[in-house]
Amino acid sequence: MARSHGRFLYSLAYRLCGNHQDAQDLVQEVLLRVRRGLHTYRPGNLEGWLSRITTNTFLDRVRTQKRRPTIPLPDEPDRVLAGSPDLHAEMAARDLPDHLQELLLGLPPDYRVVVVLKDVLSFSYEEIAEMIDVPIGTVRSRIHRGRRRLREALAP
Amino acid sequence: MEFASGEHHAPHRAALEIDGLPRRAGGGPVTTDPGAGLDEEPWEAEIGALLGRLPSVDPPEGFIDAALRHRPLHSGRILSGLAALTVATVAGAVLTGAAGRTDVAPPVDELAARHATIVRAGVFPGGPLDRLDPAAEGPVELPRGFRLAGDVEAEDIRQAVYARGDESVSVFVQEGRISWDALPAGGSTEIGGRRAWVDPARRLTVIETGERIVTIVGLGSDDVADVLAGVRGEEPSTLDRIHDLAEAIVIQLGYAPAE
Repeated sequence: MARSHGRFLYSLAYRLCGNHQDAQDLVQEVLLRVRRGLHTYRPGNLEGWLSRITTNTFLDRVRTQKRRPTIPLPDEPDRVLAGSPDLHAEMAARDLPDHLQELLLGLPPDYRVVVVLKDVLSFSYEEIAEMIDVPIGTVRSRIHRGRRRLREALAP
Repeated sequence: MEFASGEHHAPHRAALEIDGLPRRAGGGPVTTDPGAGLDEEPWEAEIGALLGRLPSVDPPEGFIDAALRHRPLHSGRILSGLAALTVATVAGAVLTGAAGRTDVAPPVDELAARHATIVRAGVFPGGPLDRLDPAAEGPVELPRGFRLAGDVEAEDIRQAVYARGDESVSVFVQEGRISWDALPAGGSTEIGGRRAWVDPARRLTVIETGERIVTIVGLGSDDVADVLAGVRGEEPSTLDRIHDLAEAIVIQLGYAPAE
């Protein structure tokens, strides 16, 4: 099971960590937790279960190590950017995956997790709330703020 | 489920389109995610679409297999899986220096539940091997067609699952000496000269081997003998002793045949 989902886990880990070394460390720890917790798995959303373990492991590491600095951005809920930047035109001029990954790393870990789960992996709000064990309103708020920070960072 | 590179991320998203989302009169998308609660603004959809275009990231060649082989055990990786069973069962007489070890009650109910859960979940499908730890020792195949379907360690108890068609057997190995008083009454017996506990109705067998406790779930009488014969090591003397023990088990347990 773990092997067949290895690529899924690795990709999620990479999007959260932003580099291969940390992604590999994270996957190693996740696989260990998967082994230990395999008997708790119940038939159902296997990817959700694996993602829950991965994101929780990631957040645990962040909280204990705090080795990934974030880019400080203003947190003004009602801030509206002037004009309507053509995000795709902007991104087309850059190396999109690498640049987006950099911007993801600029998000606080709690925001990054929910944005990746929602927008990169297409989990629902409800699934994400269950995964990370926070109220769905908190998930919604974090995603909204995370997206807004990305938008601001993308603005020319 | 395994995804092709670049295909598993947000497959329903393409460029700025968010397929299937109804549009409000004002043009903004209305999310179909019941948990969203609030409508997403158009710019949010654009951000989401951009992120949805991020490709999957493949691990370095061989990384996953290497990661699966990485196995830091809590109590030291001297033995694993059925290698532990082999040594524990066969050479248990040698491992008599268990002074100081804490007596433990094998959690037979929990182990039976673990076995049932894994079988029910189909996490270890029969047939082609999907071993969590390719480097783990122990036989891949046992007599009577039982093949290793997977192994896992939880709470310091190593479980190896073998499958034969719809049948499956779990062999649990943990360190310690049995706290006999903690086991349900009525099942005490002797297997091959070793103290043991059996519950034929639930196909549970617990054998103390000095240093380790072996719990087998799911076997009938013939299979008990065969599995124990199958875990023999490569040393001829081990083989002989296993056969002796297996014969004793068949005689003394009198299990009902496996269904």
